[in-house]
Amino acid sequence: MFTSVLDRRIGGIIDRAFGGTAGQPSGGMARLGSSLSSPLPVDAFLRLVDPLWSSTTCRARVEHVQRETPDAVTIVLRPGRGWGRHRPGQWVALGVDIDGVRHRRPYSITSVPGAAGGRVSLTVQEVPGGAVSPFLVRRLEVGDIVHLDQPQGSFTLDHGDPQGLTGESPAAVPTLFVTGGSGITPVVGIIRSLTAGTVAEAGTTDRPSTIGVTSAGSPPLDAEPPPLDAVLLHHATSEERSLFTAELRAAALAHPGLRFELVITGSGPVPSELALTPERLDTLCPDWRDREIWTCGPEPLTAALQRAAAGCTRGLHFEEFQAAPRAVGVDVVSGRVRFARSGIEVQSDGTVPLLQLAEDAGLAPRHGCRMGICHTCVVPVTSGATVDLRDGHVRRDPGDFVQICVSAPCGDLEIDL
Amino acid sequence: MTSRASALATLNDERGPDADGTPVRSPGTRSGDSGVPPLRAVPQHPSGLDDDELAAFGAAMDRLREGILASRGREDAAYIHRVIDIQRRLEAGGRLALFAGVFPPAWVAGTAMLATAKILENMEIGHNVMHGQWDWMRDPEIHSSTWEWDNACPSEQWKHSHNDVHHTWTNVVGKDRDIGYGVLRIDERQPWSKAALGQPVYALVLALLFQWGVALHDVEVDEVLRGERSKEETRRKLGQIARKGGRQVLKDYVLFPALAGPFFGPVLAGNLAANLVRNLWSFTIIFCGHFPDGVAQFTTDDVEDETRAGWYARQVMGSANIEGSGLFHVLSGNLSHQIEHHLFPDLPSNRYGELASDVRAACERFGIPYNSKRLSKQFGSVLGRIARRALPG
Repeated sequence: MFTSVLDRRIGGIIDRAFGGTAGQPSGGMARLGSSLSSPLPVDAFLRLVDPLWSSTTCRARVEHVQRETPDAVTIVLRPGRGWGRHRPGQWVALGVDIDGVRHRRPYSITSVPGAAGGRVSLTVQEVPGGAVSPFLVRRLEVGDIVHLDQPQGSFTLDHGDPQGLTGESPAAVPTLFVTGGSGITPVVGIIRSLTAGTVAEAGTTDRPSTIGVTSAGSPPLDAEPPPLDAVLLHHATSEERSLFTAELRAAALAHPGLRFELVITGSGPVPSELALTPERLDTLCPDWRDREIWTCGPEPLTAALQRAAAGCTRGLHFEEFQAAPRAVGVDVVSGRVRFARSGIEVQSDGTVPLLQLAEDAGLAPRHGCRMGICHTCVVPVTSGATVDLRDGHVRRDPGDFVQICVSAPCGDLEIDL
Repeated sequence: MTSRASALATLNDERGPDADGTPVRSPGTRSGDSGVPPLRAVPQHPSGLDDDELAAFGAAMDRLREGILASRGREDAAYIHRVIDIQRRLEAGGRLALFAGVFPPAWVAGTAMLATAKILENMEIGHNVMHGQWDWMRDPEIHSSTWEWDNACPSEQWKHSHNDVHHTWTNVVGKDRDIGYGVLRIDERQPWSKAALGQPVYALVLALLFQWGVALHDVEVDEVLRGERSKEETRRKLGQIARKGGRQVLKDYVLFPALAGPFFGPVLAGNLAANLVRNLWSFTIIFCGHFPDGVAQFTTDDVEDETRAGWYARQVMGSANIEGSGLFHVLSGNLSHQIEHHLFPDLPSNRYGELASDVRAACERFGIPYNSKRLSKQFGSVLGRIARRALPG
């Protein structure tokens, strides 16, 4: 507690000295600071004292890694300066260095806004064979420094209206949440904030102050729970692998307005009797047609719900939570190339370098040697894979900078040109 | 380390055309040396290797590159993060110590720390980051597209004059503007004029003010005077230099001395001295990279229709290494491994040392001269050459 107060004090001093909150420094002291540290930002030196002190990018320290299921963990982070308050249901791009290489992946925020000590928790389900989630679930350690962007996403009950000016309290709207697998993570963030302060989270007793409880302090024990009318219909392959089960059951007991229904589907294809049809929804939640429906989960689940809920009056909200992995071979793959800045699209046979394709399309990208030496031409790829024509290495990470003079597209591709 | 060692061992097993290690051809047997003109109309590669030998040499270099790419990872990232951390601590510590610079020991320590910080920043960090050696980490703060170095030269112009012009056209007279930096006559094929007589003095001035020489390099003053560069482009470049150089001067010679209040003088003197030490050191290392005796210069005919393998061979012939301790290599930005740097300008600098023995062995096998001597020898021969080329011939 003491250190966090001290930190905030120092943060405040730095804020005043170097120009307010995250973003561009302003004011005389800020200009002096950046003149003194030039050509580096002031951050470069502040971080020698504390790696979280930064005014341009947000870093966070891993405070706790809590196992939720055999293949999922909750990562409790303490963000440094520059973290903006999130809204329940939002996600954040988490950047981690794995074997020296920065990877960024979006994860839903499962803690409530303004949790004690400004902590933020993300729950990560391991995707077998993935590049990032196995690292987070198996190798991330307390004390590691990670990178955060600002919270994003409109899968929020306030419909993107943080001030709640629409009048109706989000909690009072009859709601049906339909989730599958790790698709429960944004929804648990929402439910925790709807029930904030009234339910002890399961499994957090060893660190009761880390997540879930607002910094405003615990409400009196006899406080009225907020009005709530929500049904959560969650699908998991097994009881053991179902996230937050104990906590959600406890929350449903404490809140008459919250019902939690767990459907165990087993691994493999979902049995037909468990498929989401209007009839099944009638059984599980008879008034489902009168509810606002929010869904997040694997594509077959959300697609089935979309078909079933065609007649739903109050609206259906989706969260895309996982892009289908693209199947790309190491050999020559033709495809469409889209130059994002100019909007031009061209066909690629998979053998011509991106620089050549861009020039043939009338663009003039910055470049130098045209043989992969000088790195003048590096440009980030927005989506899709590239193959390095010198050695056949395929790169397929979004945001990867590639040397366009020696890289050809490998299938469909969008690049920041 | 196991993975790296085995990666290199595999490479060693895949020898070039002769796996027993006997030279493919004896060193120095260039077709031109015997006075007999080459039979083919196509100019032969200056290395004297025929196309097949050249291709085999190129393949050997490609395999070495592959070996590093395959083992590049956490340890390398930890290395550059550590160097950056040390550099920033030295810079902060040096500047703090200089505030107490009225006490001579504090002044000496502060100046030494700041000079070392500037040397590390320019050579092992800035130069190498701007080459894209660390782009693979995908850290936007340690990336060739974003790095701005602690030098009067704007990074954008450096990347053009150095990464593009110099590294592509290494030692091609008339193309590589690093040959004498537009000021000095290094090769006998550069035209002589009376002005060249003063070049020992020009070299000294260039060394003392090296960062400003580097800053103006990409403006290509001689081309501007000949009217071969557009006015707008020249104005744009000069504006960039004025802004970047201005910030550097403001920081080192105005703001930090002013912060010291009554101790303005010692801080100013310390910053001047640190920049001077960095200038002299970088001049020394860089001039040893391409100008010692035995390093080849080339003509534009030499590089016509040059293959990637030919380019590799030219990089070896046109560069020279400096031998020294591990600390010396770091402080030279690993440009003491100039040959490996020119072969693989975008591989992480901390790996050049381990590449050197394999490159050297391959060069011996193929009969490509590999120039590696200690600093005093290389720099002595550079100074001799500057003096010799002051005179005609």
